[in-house]
Amino acid sequence: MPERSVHRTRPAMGTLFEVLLLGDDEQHLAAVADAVLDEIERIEQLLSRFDPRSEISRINRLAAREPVLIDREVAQLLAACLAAREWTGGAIDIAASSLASQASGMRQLPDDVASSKFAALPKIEFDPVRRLIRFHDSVIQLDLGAIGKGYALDRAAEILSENNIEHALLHGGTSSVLAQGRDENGQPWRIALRDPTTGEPAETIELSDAALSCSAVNEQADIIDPRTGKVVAGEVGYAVMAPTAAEAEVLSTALVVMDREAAERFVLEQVASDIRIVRLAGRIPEAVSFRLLESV
Amino acid sequence: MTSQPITEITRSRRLFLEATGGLFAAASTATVATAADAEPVRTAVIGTGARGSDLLRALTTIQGCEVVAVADDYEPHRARAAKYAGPQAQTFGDYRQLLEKIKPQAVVIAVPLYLHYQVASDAISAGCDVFLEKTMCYSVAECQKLAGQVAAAKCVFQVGLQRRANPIYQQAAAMVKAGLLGQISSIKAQWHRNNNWRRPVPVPAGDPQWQALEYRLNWRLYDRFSQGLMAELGSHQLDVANWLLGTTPRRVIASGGIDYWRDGREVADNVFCVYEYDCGAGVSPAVKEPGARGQQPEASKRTIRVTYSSLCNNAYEGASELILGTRGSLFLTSTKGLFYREKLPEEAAWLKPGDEGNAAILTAGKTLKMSSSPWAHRGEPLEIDLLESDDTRDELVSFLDHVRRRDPATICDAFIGLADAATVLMAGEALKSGSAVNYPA
Repeated sequence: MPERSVHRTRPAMGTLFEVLLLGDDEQHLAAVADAVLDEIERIEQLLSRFDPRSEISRINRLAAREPVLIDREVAQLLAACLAAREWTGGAIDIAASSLASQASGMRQLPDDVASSKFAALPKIEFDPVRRLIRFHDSVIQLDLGAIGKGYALDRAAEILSENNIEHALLHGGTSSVLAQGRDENGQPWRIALRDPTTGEPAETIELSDAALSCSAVNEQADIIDPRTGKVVAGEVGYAVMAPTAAEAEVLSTALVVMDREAAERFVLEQVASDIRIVRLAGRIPEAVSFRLLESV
Repeated sequence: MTSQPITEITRSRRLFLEATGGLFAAASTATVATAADAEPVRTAVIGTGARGSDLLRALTTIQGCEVVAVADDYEPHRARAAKYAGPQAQTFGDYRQLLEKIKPQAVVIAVPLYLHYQVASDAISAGCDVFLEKTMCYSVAECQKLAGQVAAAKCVFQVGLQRRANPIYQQAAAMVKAGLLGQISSIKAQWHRNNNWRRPVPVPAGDPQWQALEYRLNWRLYDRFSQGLMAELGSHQLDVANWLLGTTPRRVIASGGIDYWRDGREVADNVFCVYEYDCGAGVSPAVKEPGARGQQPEASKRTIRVTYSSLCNNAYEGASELILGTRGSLFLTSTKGLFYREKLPEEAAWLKPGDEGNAAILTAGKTLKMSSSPWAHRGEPLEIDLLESDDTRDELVSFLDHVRRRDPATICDAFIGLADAATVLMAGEALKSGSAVNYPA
């Protein structure tokens, strides 16, 4: 296994991203770590609905007035989000969640608002070939919060492979992790799911060339069901391991939104063997925690 | 919960996977977009590294702009640019071939600094309008030659100093002009970061290709390609100084060195400069200065001092400019401006009766305690927010608009670009010589 490692963190997307890279040349590792974090920052600047310079902000400002011509990467990502909506039966909906985030302040939208604003689909018109997007209602705002961190980690992984980094662990805010290769002992990276009440590692998951994402609803975290505009009830959580971080993140969020029966049916009918899902009932993790957070 | 193994990937998941698989996986499925506008501006991008990619991507979002070609002699950057540009764009390793075969109307150039003059000059000779990244050229002589060529060709030419397109800086310029800051005494500008300013090189250090790739990707670190921090970072902010003060500096002293990142680089990682600007009444409008009352000499000219620093191992206050005037201080970044009014002598707050805070001090009978906030005596600042803008995209929208109208008066023309280049390059000279350097004649 490589001798050296570089560890860097940077705030982005309202949380902290952390990278640990293994290799033999420390200067190279440092340059790649910066490039990885720059890439994550670039994705944030592309997708953030709080940054007026972002493509998403530009769409949100203009698309109710006129069709907006958008960047190829964002167009492709929007196509993915619309596919995710279809795949998850509407449990993931980037066009609904901005209203939902307004709603989360008041816990729940009034029923009439919920039904009229959330059920009215399709709310957006999108031509992926001509890269034009238009909203049918000025209240619509895109919010890519359910996929942004995972997507950023996937793009970051591309920077790693372009620069011949084989072994690395990246995470965004300890809720989405991407592991490449092995840890410094040549073992798969080990990720601990932490029990929120005791803070103790509740379960350890081995991860290599795969991503893990964790979503949960509990006292601290509201998740809004985009199909109804209502806060998802109960205490439920899922950890999802998948080939890409975007997929892991989308699935973990979608499963939390679905009721248990729908989630089980979805897993049986829609989820292939390269994805592993852990339901965390009764022991809801607030986040994924890493060994590296404690040891480095 | 355990899942039955499903070998077949469902259709919706496949759609999702294709779309999230990165630009490189799915771009081949895209078909040609047809621009709705008649007569789009046929635009090419030469140099598609990090900055060139940003410019290219912004161009693809502008209605009425058709990206017809991209050129870069580094294959990975060329391949990435091809994806960003879309299938209608042709790709070239040699920009001369692009100019010859494609004959674009407008060319956006983001090559390393030492190539700016040659590429821009060739593009103008080929009959193109040119958007050239800052700094305009590697040397003042090259800038002068290029400015002459621009004037002779009557082409539309713009240098990529995007703060000129940023509403915060436009607002700042208006505030200075209106006299809201009173008389400007100095500007403190900086671009401080905490990283090694390196791009990763994709082969290990011992590899025979390493040196060539190092020069190609990290050209900013080597003298023969780069003019260092002043040209790469300082150019933006000294353009702000030139803009707000309405003139160019008379003289500069500078100090700098490779103090921290001793990794083989040739350009300084730590630079401090003091510029002297001689400014007339235009910069400091006729504001009646309190307490001055005619004691002040009739100063038609006065010296305004501008300090500039750039360093690579501390990021406090990042990239920012602080404009200091007799009536206020304006703190500027490209996403926010803060205006702090000066506490003027006639406004000494503790002399005002009925002030709640002062009453508390008097009744408590204790020593006046200074606030730990450095701005407390100035009160809350007025904020200038960036509401809807991306200055990189906006500067290109403006450029293309000028191209369409055949209007050479761009927001950052060859004269502004030349003045900016001369301003940063004189500091580079002062750094090397250790002596004060005058603005080139």
